[in-house]
Amino acid sequence: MLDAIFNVTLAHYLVLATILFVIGFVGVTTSRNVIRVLMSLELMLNAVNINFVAFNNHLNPVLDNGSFLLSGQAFAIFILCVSAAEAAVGLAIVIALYRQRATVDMEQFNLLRG
Amino acid sequence: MTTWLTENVWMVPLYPLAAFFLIVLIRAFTWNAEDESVRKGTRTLSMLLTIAATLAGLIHTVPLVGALLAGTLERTEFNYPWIQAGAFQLSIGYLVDSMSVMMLLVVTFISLFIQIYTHGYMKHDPGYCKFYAYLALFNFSMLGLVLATNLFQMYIFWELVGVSSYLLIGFWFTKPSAAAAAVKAFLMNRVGDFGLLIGILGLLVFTYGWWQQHADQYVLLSFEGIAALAPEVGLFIPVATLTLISILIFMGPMAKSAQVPLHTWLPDAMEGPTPISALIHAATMVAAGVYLVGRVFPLFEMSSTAMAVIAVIGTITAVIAATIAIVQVDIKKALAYSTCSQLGFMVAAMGCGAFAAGLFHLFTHAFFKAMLFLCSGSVIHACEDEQDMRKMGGLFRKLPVTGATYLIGCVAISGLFWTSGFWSKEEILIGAVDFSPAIFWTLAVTAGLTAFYMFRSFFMTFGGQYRGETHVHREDPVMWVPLAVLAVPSLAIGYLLTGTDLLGVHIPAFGDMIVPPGVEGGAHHAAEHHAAAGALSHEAIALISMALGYGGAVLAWLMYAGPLKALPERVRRMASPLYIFFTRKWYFDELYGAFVRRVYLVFAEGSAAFDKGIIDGLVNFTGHSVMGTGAALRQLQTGRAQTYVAVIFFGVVVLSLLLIYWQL
Amino acid sequence: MPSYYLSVLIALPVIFAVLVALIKPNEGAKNVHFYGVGASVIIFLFSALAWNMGALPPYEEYNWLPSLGIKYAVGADGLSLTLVILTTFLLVMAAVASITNITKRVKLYYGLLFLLTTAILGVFLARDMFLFFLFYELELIPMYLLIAIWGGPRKDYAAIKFVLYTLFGSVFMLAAILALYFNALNNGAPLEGAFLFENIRAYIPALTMGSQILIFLGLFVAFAVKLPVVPVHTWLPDAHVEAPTPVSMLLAGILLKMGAYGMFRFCWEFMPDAAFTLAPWIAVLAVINIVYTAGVALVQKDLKKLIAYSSVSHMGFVLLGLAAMNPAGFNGAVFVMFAHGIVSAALFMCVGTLYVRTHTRQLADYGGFGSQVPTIFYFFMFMSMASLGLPLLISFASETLVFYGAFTSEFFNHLFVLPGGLNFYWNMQIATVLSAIGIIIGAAYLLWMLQRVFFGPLPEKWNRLPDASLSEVFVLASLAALVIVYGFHPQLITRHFEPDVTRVAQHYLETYPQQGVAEVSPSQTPASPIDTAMIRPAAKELVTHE
Repeated sequence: MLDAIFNVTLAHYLVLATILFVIGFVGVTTSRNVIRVLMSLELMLNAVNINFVAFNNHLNPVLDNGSFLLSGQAFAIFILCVSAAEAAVGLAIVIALYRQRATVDMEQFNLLRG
Repeated sequence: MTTWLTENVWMVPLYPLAAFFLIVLIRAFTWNAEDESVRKGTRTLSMLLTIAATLAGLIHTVPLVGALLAGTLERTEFNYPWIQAGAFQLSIGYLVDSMSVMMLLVVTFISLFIQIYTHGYMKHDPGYCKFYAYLALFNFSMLGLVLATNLFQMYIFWELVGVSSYLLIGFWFTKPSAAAAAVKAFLMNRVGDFGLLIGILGLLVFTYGWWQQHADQYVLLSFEGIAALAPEVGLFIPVATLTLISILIFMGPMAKSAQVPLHTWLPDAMEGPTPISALIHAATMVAAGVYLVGRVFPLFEMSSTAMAVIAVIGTITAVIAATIAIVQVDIKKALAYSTCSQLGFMVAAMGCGAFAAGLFHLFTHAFFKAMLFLCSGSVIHACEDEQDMRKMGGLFRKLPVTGATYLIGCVAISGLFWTSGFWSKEEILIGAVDFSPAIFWTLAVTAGLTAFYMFRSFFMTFGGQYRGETHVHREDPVMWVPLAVLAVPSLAIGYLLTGTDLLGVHIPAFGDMIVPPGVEGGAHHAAEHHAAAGALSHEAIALISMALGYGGAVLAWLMYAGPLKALPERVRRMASPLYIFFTRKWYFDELYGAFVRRVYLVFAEGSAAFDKGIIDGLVNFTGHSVMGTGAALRQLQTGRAQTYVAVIFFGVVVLSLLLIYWQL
Repeated sequence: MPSYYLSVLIALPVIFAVLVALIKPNEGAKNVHFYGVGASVIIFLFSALAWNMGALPPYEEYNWLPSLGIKYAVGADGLSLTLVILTTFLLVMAAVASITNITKRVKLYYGLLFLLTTAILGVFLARDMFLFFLFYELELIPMYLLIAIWGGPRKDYAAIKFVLYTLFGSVFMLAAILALYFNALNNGAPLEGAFLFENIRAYIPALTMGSQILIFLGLFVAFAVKLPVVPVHTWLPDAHVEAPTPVSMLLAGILLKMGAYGMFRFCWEFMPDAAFTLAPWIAVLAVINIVYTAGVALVQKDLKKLIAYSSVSHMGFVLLGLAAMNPAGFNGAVFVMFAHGIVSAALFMCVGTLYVRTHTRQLADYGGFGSQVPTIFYFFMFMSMASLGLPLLISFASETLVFYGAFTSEFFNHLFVLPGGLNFYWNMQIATVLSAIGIIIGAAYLLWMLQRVFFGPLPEKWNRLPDASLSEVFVLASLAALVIVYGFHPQLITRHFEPDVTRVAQHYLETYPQQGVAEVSPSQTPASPIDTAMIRPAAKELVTHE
C-alpha cells in the first residue's frame, strides 16, 4: 500500500494534474471574481505543465547521440512564459474593465450576449 | 388636279393634326397669360385654326366628290411600312375610293358647321381653346380612320376616335357624372376593341400564308386584300371559325356604333357638350362601326351565320333603343336613343346584305342627326342648360329657325315625304324584306316608333305653352346659320342620290357609286335585289313605311299637342311595368353594374388579397422564420465567458471520447 | 471612334461620381444639382455618339483573371445600344427630376446615381459572363443605398427586401453561369476566355436536354426576380413606394430591363432548345403576369403602388413576346422594354409631382386636381393613355408587335387533360386572348385612377397647389416627345435592334416545326365543306400522341 503511494509513478503525476485541472476548471467556470478566474486559469496551465514534464520523464526519449530530448520541459517553460504574459495582459484588461465598470464581477461582463 | 388631290389626300387628316399641335403649342406659351388681349387672341386663333383646317379638308374633298359623281374617281391606295419585324410588316397609308370620299365629305362638311356652331355654344366656357384642340384631334382621328387602307390602320384610328370621344365626353370633368360617362364610354369601347383585335389576329393567323404569298400585291390586312381573299377564305378557315372571327371583328362596330348589348355608353355620352354629341355621337364616330362593316363586308358575306347575327343585333338595337326613346324626357337622351336606333337600322341593313343601303342611311342620317343635335343644343343654350323637355314647350315662337330645322329633322328621320331619310330607310327595308320578313316587319314598325318619338320630342319642346321658369334667350346667328345649312342636305340629298339630273348634270344613284370592295359595277345595287324580291313590291314597301311613319307622327301630335293630351298619362299608368322597364333602359346598366361589382371587382380584390396575403405573406414568412430561428439560437449566446469555457471543455471531452471509443 | 470607346462610356459615370465627391462640402444643393445634371447630360451625349455613327462601336477584350479564364470584354449590338441609350437618357431625366425631389445629401446622391449608371451600362455592354454577373451584382449596392437613405417611412424594409430578393435570384444565376463555364471547359474549351459569351454559347449544345433546362431555369429565376414575374414580384411595389421619384424612374425604367435583357440574351438567344421546350409554361406566366397584376393594380389605394403594379403587368408583355418565339414577338418584347422604360418613368414622375405637392399618395386624399394643376393633369393623362396602349403612342406600337407575334406563333399546341373531362388546349392564341383581357383591365385601372385623382370637384384643402415647375415640365415634355415621335414612327427605334433580334427569331423559325400554320398549297385544296383536319393537320396529330 505504502509502496503504491510512495513509489511515485506516472499515474501519480497524472492524478495530481487532473485534480489541479479540475479545480482550475471549476474555478474558471464558477468564479464571479475575475481575479479568481485568472488565478484558476493559472492552475489549469500548471496542471498541463505537470503533464508535460511527467510524460517527458516517463517516455525519456533518447536521441541517437545519447543525449536526452527535453521537449516536455521546454513546452512547460514556454507555457510559463505565456501564462506570465497572459496574467499581465489579463490583469491589465481587468484593471481597464474595473475603471470602466467599477466592478470585477464576471456576471457583469456579458457584452457578447446575443 | 384631281389626281394631285387624290395622291395627296393624306393631307386631309394632317390639317387638323397640325391645328391640334399648333393650338397645344400656343396654349403652352399663353395659358397663364394675364393680358386679356392675349387670351382673347389665343381663343380666336384656336377657333380659326381648327375651322381653317376643316375647311381646307372640305375644299380638298369637294373636287374628289365631283370626280366621284362624274365617275372619274380613280381608286388610289398608298401604303407606308409602319413597323416591321423580319418578314412581318404592318403598314399605314391612305385609300381613296367611293366609300372613303363619301365619308370624307360627311366628316369635313358636318365638322365645319359644327365647329362654327361651337363658337356660339362654347363662347363663355373657360375651356374654349381646349375644346377646339380636342375637336381638331377628333377630326384627325376620324379622317385617318376614313382613309385607312387596312384593318390594322383602322384599329389605330378606331382607338384614337375613342379617346377623342373620351376627352370630349369628359370635357366638363369637374362634374362627376361626366367623368363617369367618359370612363364608361372608353371602357365599353375597349371591350369592343378587344373583340376587334382578337378578330383581326384570328383572321391573320389563319390566312397568314395567303398574305405572305400575296405580299407584293396586298399589304397585310388591307381591305383590298380581304376582298380578294374572301372568295377563297374557305380554304383557310373552317366556316364555324370564320363565323367566330367575323363576330369578333363585329364586336368593334358593336361598341363603337352602340349596338346592343354594348350600347349603354352612348346615352351617357350626352354628358359632353352638345356640339360633341352632334359631331361624334351622332354623325361621324358612331357611324365608323358601320363603315368598318362596310370595309370588311366581303369577309362577313362568306359566313351567312355572321351576317344573320349582325342583322339580328341591328334589329334588336333598333327596337330596344326606340322603345327607350319613347319614354325619355331629356331631349338629348331621346336623340341619343334615336341615334342608337338608327345605327341599328344601318347595321341591320349591312347584315341583310344591303350594303349600299346601310351606307346610304349612314350618309343621310349624318346630316339630319347632326342638325337635330345642334337644334337641341340651341334649345338647351336658350333655356340656360335645361334639358328636360317637360320644362320646355312653346319654343317655336322664340326660336323659329331652330324649331323649323328641328321639324325638318323629324320629318327626315321619320322618312316622311321625299326627305333624305325616306330614301335611305326605304332601301334598308327593301334589303330587309329580301333577307327575312321578320326583320322587315320589325324594322318597319320601329320606323313608325321613330316617327312617334321624334314628333313627341318636337311637340314637347316646341308645341304648346312654355312650362319652364328661366328666361328664354334668343338665337345667335352663329348658331342658327349652321342649322339652316344642314337643313338643305337633310331634305334634299336623299332624292339627289337616287339617280337624278340636277341642273343638267347627271348624279348617279348612291348604290351605283358605292359598291362593296371586290364587286365590279354595282352588282349589289338594291334595285337588283328588288328585282329578285318576291314578297313585296317596291311600292308596297314605300307605302307601308310611309303609312307607319305618318301614323307615328299623327299619334304624337294627338298625344302631345292635339286633343288627346291626357292620353300619355293614362297609358303610363295602364302599362306601368312596361313603362318602368323602358325608363330603366331594359336594366342594362344595372346588369353591368352588378357584373362589375360581383365579378370584376371581386376578381381584383381577390388578386390583391392573394398578393398581399399569400405571396407577400410567404415572402415575409421566409424572412420571419429566419429571424425566428436566429432569435431562438441567440439564447445560447449568453455572453458569459465562463459558460463558453464550459461548453468548449465538455465539447472537447465528448470529441475525445468519440475519438477513443468509436475510433472515429 | 476610338477603340476604347465603350470602356470610357462605362467608366465615365464613375469618374463623375468621384468628381461629385470632390465638390466642397458646404456647396449649396442647387449648385450640386446643376453639376449633377450637367454630368448626366455629358454621359448622355457621349453615349449618343454610338447611336449616330451607323456602325457598331468596337469590341474590346483584355485579360483580367487569366487563371480562371475571366476576361474584361465589352461590346455592343443593336439591342445593347438601344438599352444603353435608354439608360443614359433616363439618367438625364432622373437627374432633372431630382431637382425637386431630392433635398438632402445631394452629393452622395449623385455619386450613387452615377455608380448605378456604371453598373447598368456594364450589364448591357458586358460580353463576358463573369463580368456580366459582376455588374449585375454591383448595381445592388447603390440601389440599396438610394432607397435606404432617401426613401420613405418603410425604406429599410423595402431596401432589404429588394436586395434579398435579387440575391436570391443571383444564387441561381451564379450556379447556372458556373455550370455553363465548367461545361465549356469539360468539352475542351480553352481556358483563355472561357467566360466569353460566344465561348459559353458555343458549348451549350453539348449539354443534355435535362441540364439545359435546369440551367435555363436557373437563369430564368434570376431574371424573373428582376423583371419581375409573378410570384417573385412583391419586392417591386414596396421598393417603388419607398423609393424617391427619380430612383423609381430608374428602377422602373431601366432596372427591370436588366432582367428582360438578361432573359432575352441568355435564356432565349443562348438556349433556344430549352426555351422552346418551356415556352408553354412561360406563356402561362406571361398571362398571369398581365392579367393578375392588372387586377391587383385595380384595387390599390396607393397611387404609386398602382403604377408599380401596372409596371409588372406590362412586363408580362415582354414574357408573352418571348414565348412567341417569332420575329414579331421578339421585336415586340424588346420594343416593350424600351417603350415601358419611357412611359413608366414618366408615370412615376407624374406621381412624384403630385407627391411633392400633397405629401400623400393615397387615392382617397385626391380628387378634382384637373382644374387645379392642369399641366400635371394633361401630362398624367397623356402618359396614362400611352400606358394603356393608345395608338400612335409608343406602347401601342410595341404591344401591337407582341400581340401580332404571339397570336401568329404556332410553335406549340398542348392539350391538357384534366379529370372530369375538363380538357383544354393551351397555345399562344389562347394565351394572347387572355392577355388581351389585360388591356381592358389596364384601361380600367388607369382611367379609374385618373377619374379619382383629377376629375370631380376639388376638395377645399388642395386649392393652393402650384402647377408643374419648369424642371418637371422639362422632364415630362421630353418623355412625351419621345412617346409621340416613336409612337408615330416606330421604325426610328426598331431599326436599331430589329436585325439582331430578328436573327435570333430566325433560328427558331428554321429549327423548330410550327404546329398547324395554315399553309397555302394547291394540293391541299379541299372539297367543301371544309374539314378542320385538312386545315390544321399538325395540330391534330399532336393531340393524338399526347
